[in-house]
Amino acid sequence: MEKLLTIIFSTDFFYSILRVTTPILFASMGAVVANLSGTPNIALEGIMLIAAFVGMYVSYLSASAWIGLVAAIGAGMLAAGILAFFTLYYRTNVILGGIAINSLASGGTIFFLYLIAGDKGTSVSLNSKVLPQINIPLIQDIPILGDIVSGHNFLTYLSIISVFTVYYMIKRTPLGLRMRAVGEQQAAAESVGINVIKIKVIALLISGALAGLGGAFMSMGYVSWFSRDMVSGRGWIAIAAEAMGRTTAIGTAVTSVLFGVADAFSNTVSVLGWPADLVGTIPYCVTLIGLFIFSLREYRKRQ
Amino acid sequence: MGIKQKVEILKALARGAKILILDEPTAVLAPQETEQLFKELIYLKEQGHTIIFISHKIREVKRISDHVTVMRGGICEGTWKTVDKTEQEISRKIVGFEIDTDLVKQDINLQESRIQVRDVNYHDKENVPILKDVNFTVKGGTILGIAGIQGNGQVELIELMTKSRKMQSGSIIINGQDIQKINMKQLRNTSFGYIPEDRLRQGIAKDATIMENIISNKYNEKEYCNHGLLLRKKCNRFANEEIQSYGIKCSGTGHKTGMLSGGNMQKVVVARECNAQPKVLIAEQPTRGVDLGAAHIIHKQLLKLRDEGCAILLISADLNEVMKLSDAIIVIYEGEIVAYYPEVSGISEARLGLCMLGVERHDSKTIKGAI
Amino acid sequence: MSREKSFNILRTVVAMIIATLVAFTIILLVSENPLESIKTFIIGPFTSLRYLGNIVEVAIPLTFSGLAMAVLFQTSLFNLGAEGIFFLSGALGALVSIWVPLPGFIHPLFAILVGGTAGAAVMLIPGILKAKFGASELVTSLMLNNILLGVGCYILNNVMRDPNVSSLVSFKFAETALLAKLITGTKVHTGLLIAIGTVIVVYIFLYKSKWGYELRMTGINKEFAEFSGINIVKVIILAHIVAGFLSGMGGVIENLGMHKRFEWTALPGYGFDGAMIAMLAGNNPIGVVGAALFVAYLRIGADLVNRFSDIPTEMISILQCVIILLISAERFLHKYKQKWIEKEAK
Repeated sequence: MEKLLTIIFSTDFFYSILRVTTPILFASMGAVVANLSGTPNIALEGIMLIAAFVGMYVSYLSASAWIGLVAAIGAGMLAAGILAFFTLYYRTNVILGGIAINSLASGGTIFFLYLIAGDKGTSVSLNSKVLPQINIPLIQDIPILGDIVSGHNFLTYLSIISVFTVYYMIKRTPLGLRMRAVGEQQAAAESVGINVIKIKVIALLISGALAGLGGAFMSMGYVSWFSRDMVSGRGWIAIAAEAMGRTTAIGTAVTSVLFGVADAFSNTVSVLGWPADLVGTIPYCVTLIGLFIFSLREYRKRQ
Repeated sequence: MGIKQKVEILKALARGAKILILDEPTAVLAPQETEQLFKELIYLKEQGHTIIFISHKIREVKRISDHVTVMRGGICEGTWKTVDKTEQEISRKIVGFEIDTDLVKQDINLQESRIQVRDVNYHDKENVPILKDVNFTVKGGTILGIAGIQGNGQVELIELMTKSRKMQSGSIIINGQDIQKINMKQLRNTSFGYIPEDRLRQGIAKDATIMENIISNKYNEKEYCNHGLLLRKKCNRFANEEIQSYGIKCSGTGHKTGMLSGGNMQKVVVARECNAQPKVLIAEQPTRGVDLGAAHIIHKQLLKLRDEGCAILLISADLNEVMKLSDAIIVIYEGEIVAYYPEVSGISEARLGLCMLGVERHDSKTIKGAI
Repeated sequence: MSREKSFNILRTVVAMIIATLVAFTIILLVSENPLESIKTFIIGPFTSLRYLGNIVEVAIPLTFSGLAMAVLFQTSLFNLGAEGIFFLSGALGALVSIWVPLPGFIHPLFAILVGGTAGAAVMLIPGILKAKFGASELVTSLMLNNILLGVGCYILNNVMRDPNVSSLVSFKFAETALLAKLITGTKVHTGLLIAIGTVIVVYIFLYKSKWGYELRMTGINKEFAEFSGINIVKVIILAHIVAGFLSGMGGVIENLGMHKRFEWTALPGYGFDGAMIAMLAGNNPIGVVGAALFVAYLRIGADLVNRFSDIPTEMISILQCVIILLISAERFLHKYKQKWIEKEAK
């Protein structure tokens, strides 16, 4: 017990919370933007995986992490674009479209990995690049706080910035206003001349870009390779976080951090010798319980 | 509403429209507003505009048009000068056969009170009052019509009565049961029928077959279900009987209900609700968007139920329908009952219209008569 | 058969053809010997009794998962938990098969019962959360998949691992637990008979029983169902329980029919395939059989191509994506639908 407490109340633990929350935060911001505009993006998991693969591969091809990052964002937007096309034009059910893209991502990435590198499931032979860590001058010298806050991957800081960017966009920009209008009352928005389809497509593309950032982090920051199904459900956790955060930027960020804590906790205690199989389910259990409590409260409110 | 209508016409004129197409413009208007609309249309006509007036209300067509075209089944039946055709002839062209436009109403077969609405108040989320002190009773064997322009609380009242909304204050007793204490299944089991306004949303399951839709209120009965297994032959036979007696145009009991025309869909709903011999029936806009022939059949069915002792609550924006079918009428305006007519003969449409517009109201003693 | 129904079947066939063409394109681009590869893909699975048997063997678990998803889809529920339940029920069934001594005929049936019941019980979680509180069954079921994977792996690692074998496998199943082989020369087992029986039962349930009627009406129009007096909460929970039981059966049957020990270390993938199979089958249990055979055929084809020319079997996922997108796209071939149906009106 004592050992557990010392590990949890260490700067390493808090540092790792910020680290593991990064992909969830990006994806959940994407979920917020999409859901706000009335077109939930169920394919976040698959988009993250595709972006993780593309980022890894392009960074290897170009020997530059930055170009890889741009490619990852582009791949995320492209995948979201496909989803948008099928759900908005061909009227595919949103959930089925998401399942299709996730299926494509899961198998497609392994498929292409083998074709281009001959690796079966993990990109060991590719020398892909990693995005840099940033040691913030001055702050890094502050005791405790410095160890927690400084020295993170570039994308971790970007993920925190993205929360405020999304918040600002939703509340203060005309685009955000239009998104909210379209999401709340589509017919009314249409009647004042808002191009509903255009707004929905933009929302999906933005969510794809954000998910792309999350995926890029997985293969170019969290670890420096790509492996089968490496997103491990973080896309789904992000969707749950957005539901519990009531489609607001700040609320969703809070719930994302909550899940990040669970994730960090499960990573940490596996060191203590607790059974790895069961410990690995902690983030998912926490999400499930969180959804349960949230739904229960919503139900009570309706009564 | 009349003002919104004017705004729409002004919008069109402001764009320089020379041709105006009006599709059922009087469905949402009170008699006075209709008169005013017609005055405006005649004025526009004299100014040189061309007006196409689409309506199923033959009287209005006779009143305001110079020429009339009848369309049936997608084919044009003909165009004539309006003065050359009588109302009978026009309606015959529309339906294809002779309708006895005089529905015969039997004497009232009065039974006990079946619907008791007492002191119902309801406000929405922003505390805007939607229903105020609504009190009325419907006895078995009578039709109580609720006249009112759409948007004055009728929808909410019906939603409360059919348990789509939660009551806030007051009580509603149907067939002797307090509806707040029972669930929908139990309510239906008390011989309660409901023809909903929005048939696509509540009335039918559009991807299900006609048979599946028609048995939705009887599939649990011993006659149609044995130890959990549906007796298909019996269900189909029943569905076929209803298809015959209502004249539902379809390719059989396996036809997807959503593919039927509006009128035929409504026939399915009415067939289902009426066949169950309900003791209480709520009919909400029962012939909206329904062709004349089907409307006639539905009216006959409602009267038949009334003669057999059913208590019917009729809500309709079609004043003609309300006056034709009801034994008594209450007028609702802004959530309140503002008028009660215990008898329909001798009601002046003009006065009724004034009540619907909220300009006039009966004194509270008369209104209490509705209870 | 109405024009609309025949159009939908036509559209499904077009989707399958397009998917096959996509497969051809991939093979063409990737393989060094495209024509040979395509021939292997299309005809290969028919060239020997063993391969034909493989199709049937793979189709068996796919049938169960397809049935489970069909029941859920008919109720308009999007629960993908079949995946995790396959895994966990497989593990629990393994426990019974290893340690509970029972006579030959009863043993596998009891294991299947245990697996099915466990599946039904687990499905109560997303079921109740959705029915009573409206929580997204998609997210809850996906979380459960990961949780069940962890629990199942724990059982494998800590409870039934055979220390004498170097790879991660369980103890051997008792002989009495295994499902007997049906057709010599193949590995087709009695699970096939159970599958066929289950298909018939599910068909009767969905289309001939009053509970199936309530389920389908709820799926078509929830408000209509409520207004007809149907208890939506019960219906949603029932759909979940049935789907859970079916998935559980599938997990155990696959293990006892095709394996001698419990060897899964990751989610086997049958659950997600079930969604596609249900869609191909129009959510009709009888159609599930055909769809399962089709998907199994694709899998064996991809397997053979993989052996012959090194194209990864994951090609199937790409086909899956194409099929799901095209079938669920209501407006796909929309213009032709109007013309097709109009022909009847004349």
